[in-house]
Amino acid sequence: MFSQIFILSPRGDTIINRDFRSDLPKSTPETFFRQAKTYSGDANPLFNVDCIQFAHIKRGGLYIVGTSRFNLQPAMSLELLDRLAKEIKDFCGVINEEVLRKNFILIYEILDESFDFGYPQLMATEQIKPLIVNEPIQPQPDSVMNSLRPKIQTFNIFVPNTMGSQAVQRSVLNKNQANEIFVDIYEKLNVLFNSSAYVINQSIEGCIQMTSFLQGNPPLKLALNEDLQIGRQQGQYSAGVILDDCNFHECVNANELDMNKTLRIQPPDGQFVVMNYRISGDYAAPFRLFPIIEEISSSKIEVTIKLKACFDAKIIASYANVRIPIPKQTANAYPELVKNAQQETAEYDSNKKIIEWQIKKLCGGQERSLKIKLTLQATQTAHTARKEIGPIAMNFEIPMFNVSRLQIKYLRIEERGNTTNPHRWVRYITQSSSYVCRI
Amino acid sequence: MAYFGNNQQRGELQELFTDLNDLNFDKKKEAIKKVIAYMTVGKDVSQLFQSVIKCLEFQDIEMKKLIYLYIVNYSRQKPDDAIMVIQNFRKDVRKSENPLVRALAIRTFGCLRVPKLNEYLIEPLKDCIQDDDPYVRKTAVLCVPKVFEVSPELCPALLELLQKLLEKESNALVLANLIQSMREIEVVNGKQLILMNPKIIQKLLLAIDECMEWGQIFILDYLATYDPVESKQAEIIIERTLPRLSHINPTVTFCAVKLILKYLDHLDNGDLVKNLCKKISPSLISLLSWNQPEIQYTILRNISLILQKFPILFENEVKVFFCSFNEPYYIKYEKLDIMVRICDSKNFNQVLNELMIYINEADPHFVRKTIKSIGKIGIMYDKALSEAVSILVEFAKNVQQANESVQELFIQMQILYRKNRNLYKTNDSLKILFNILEYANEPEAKSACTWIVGEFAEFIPKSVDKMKEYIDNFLIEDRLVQLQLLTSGVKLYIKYPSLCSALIQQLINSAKDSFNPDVRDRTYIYWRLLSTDPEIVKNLVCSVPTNSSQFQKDIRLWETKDLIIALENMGSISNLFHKLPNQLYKNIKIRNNHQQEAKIYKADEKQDIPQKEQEIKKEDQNQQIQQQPKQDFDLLNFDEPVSKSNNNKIDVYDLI
Repeated sequence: MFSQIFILSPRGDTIINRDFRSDLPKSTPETFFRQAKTYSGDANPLFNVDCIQFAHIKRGGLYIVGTSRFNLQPAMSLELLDRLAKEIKDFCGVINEEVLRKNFILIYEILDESFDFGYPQLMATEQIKPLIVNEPIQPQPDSVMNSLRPKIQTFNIFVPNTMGSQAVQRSVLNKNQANEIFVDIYEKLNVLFNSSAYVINQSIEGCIQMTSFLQGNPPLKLALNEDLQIGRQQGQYSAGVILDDCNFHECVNANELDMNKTLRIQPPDGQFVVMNYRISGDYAAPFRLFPIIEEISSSKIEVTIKLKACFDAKIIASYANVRIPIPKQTANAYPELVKNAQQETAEYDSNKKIIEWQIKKLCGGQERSLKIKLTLQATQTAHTARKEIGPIAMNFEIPMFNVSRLQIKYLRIEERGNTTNPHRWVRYITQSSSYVCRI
Repeated sequence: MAYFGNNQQRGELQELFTDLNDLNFDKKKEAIKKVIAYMTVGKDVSQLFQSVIKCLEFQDIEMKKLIYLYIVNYSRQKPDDAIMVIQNFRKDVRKSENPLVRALAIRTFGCLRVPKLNEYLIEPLKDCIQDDDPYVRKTAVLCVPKVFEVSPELCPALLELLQKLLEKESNALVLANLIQSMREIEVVNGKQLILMNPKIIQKLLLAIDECMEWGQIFILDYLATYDPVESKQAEIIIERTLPRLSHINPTVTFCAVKLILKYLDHLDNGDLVKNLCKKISPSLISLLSWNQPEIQYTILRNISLILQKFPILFENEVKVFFCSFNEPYYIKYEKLDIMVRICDSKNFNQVLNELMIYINEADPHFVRKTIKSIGKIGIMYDKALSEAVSILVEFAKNVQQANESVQELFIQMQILYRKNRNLYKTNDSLKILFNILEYANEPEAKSACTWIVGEFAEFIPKSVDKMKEYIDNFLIEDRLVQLQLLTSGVKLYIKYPSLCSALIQQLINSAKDSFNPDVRDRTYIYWRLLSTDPEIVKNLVCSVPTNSSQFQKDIRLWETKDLIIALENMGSISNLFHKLPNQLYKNIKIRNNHQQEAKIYKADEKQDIPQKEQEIKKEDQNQQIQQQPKQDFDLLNFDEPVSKSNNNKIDVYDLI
């Protein structure tokens, strides 16, 4: 089990240091930080120095580290640290250096209830809430730390940024909170098209996530589609929503799922994932890409890409970005948008040899296109270079839309003793996970 | 404390000292918070020990928590002062109405780790184990291994209490802690503490449903070490475990998988086994698409292990392992590896088509692994051979510069040619390769090139000139290339005796004085042979192998006896490194295993296949031993001893 848990600042200063078993040298934080700095970029989540196993995650720029000299399950170590981070976030609202420094006593309390002798004990926010005596100290809203945080969001294909929810940044210990609950249905799409826009492989990874600020944690009843079916038989066809597999949070009783398609939930405080599900069957991909490559001459290539939004016109994608890798031997590239194009940009990154096409808003049914004129260096001919174009990757987010058609029919509070009717917020979000078109 | 000086730190301590002894309660509390803050950053505040523990008389729980935190940290430095705390602890444990305070005291008490204090601890601890409040019991139960570690001689009575508690305890949380602490003592002690009987198993199974996820992990993990006595029992336990497969915590799911896979061996009913496998595989696949790549990675590393025993689980599921473009490379490497393992005579086409796409990726290292995988598949399946070659040839056509992936291309092409000599005709492969020979710069790739030139000399224009070029640089080449140059040079001489007489002389001259004994010996062998009877040399060096059965690849990851141990430790960090626990941690002893055969679960029918081919096994083992010192503990590396061992075999063949 964990021997120590410590939290380090980005500069390697110890903010929290709790030793559970005293079987490791006191210098482990330095050992860890030195090793972590040897990696270019982010350090491996797990590494081993002199028979000491270090597991760490990074949250808000801080390293949350667990050490052990046992043959632990790595998935479990990481999950534990992640849970710890969630707990801290539930109590303090946010995780950053300033908040942690201000609340270090609270965090020691949390650590003591969460782990004993390095073994995980109570790790759910509402379970340890009665055992905690300290109140969180909120940082000044306009302090230096906050203003230093980057405000500009950059295009990053690996971490799709989602729209913020007002449900975050709040502590569960806040007494005069509103009586409300947020339900998010996230779906991440994996789609792979071949060059003729035919789908080779597709799947959906979805989850239903709740953030509960309900007073008294009353039991809930959540109803899903009536045509829902779990488990796919080979060769079977059904018009309903078929989930290949799903899993549930501990607080969920799924006994009635097969019969009534309802889940009974005893919601804990704060954020939790009610269920994860996975769908591998066919579904209508929300975007289609049609790339056309023409060799104009032996040193010139023209690439035309059409993007079609194949969903209802009432729905608007909040952003859609397309990324097109072009040949390494490109001398120059000119992306050309259609005339009168609005809220669209296309840029050529000559270092990475990538064209980035960003569309700010895209309504369902609309079509956009981009033409790229490439000039090659003399060393390569257009015929061989065209093979280096692609694969085209897309990154998007569509709010209030989900591909699987999994729906929340209702969310009821079972015993309504309270006079106030809590607010229930439901939103659907579809994002790309890996949305790729090969050429 | 009169010796506080004037310097900065002393000044701070002096200030804290005054505040701690202040009569104002709030001031005291603030001071203690500051003390803890100093402690956290590593400043020594142990001198304040006495003043801090004086504050224990207050019943404020927040203050108590802080002071206990302080005591735990400094008790070993100040054992004599720590004795003064004992009275307070005992009072808290015995008298306090508040279970929180009782638990807090016993938890802190356990962490003191001062041997001479432990005797005062035993009695209160006994009380706590029998406490009415489960929160206190759960804390007390975990306190036993803490005491056991420091002073085992005090513990027999406590252990008996634990065993009694195991029989009557009904709270799931306490039970989970109980199992965990008894297991830990078992490991240190070497004696079995938990006596499994149907009653206790029943109890644990009930507890799984009730306790929290971490408790579930403890219990499942423990049950997975147990050998069921009969098929029926295994069946019951599996049945109770099945719901855990859809737990949201990946570790719970994985522990359940581990348990079920282990118990499959004990089931008599073949249909049941098949059905269970069908239930396990969707859960495993869900874990693979987990949103954290780290978790995915751990699962992938274990899957290559599981595959060796349970090929049935991923039958028809090869698509799951296709890489998507935005995955980290460490995931992609694992997936490639698994794709090769999962590839069979039915789906190799699908796999090759997918690999063909990866060959155009940007990262040369990934492309290299892809080429290697294509080569492996070509070797494994005769039907895949021509497809594999045509993909590689297509790649060779576009080669423009010397990079990592080109090196692998030469190596794999050489191996494929060796498997079937007639391949040189396919798609002009030989001609295309010859045009890019100059890009070879790694020793292994260069050696492959020289082999190609020697072997196919009669189909390559100017092969003699090319060989001359190589031989001119003989002395600066790597040993591997030198050895291959000798063989290839002799081959060429046999084929064109008149053209090459000067060349072979030059070769022998430069090689006979080599510092490397291998090179020197081989030179002398060829020299003597050539001067006795060139005809013998011809039969030896230029003969074409008739059967290609020696190219059957062995892609097993583990030896059987290691496989069993590895499966027992499924999910642990040692498996992540593909090592046995005792190889990674010096302090861990593994159970001796005498089981020689592992049951392999195949798709069509479950079969017992005794592992054969001792020879290959031995060679693999040697290879592994040689490999081990080289492997460092970097997670992102993966080594494949297999292909190298194959190369060795080929070298041996050449010599004879």
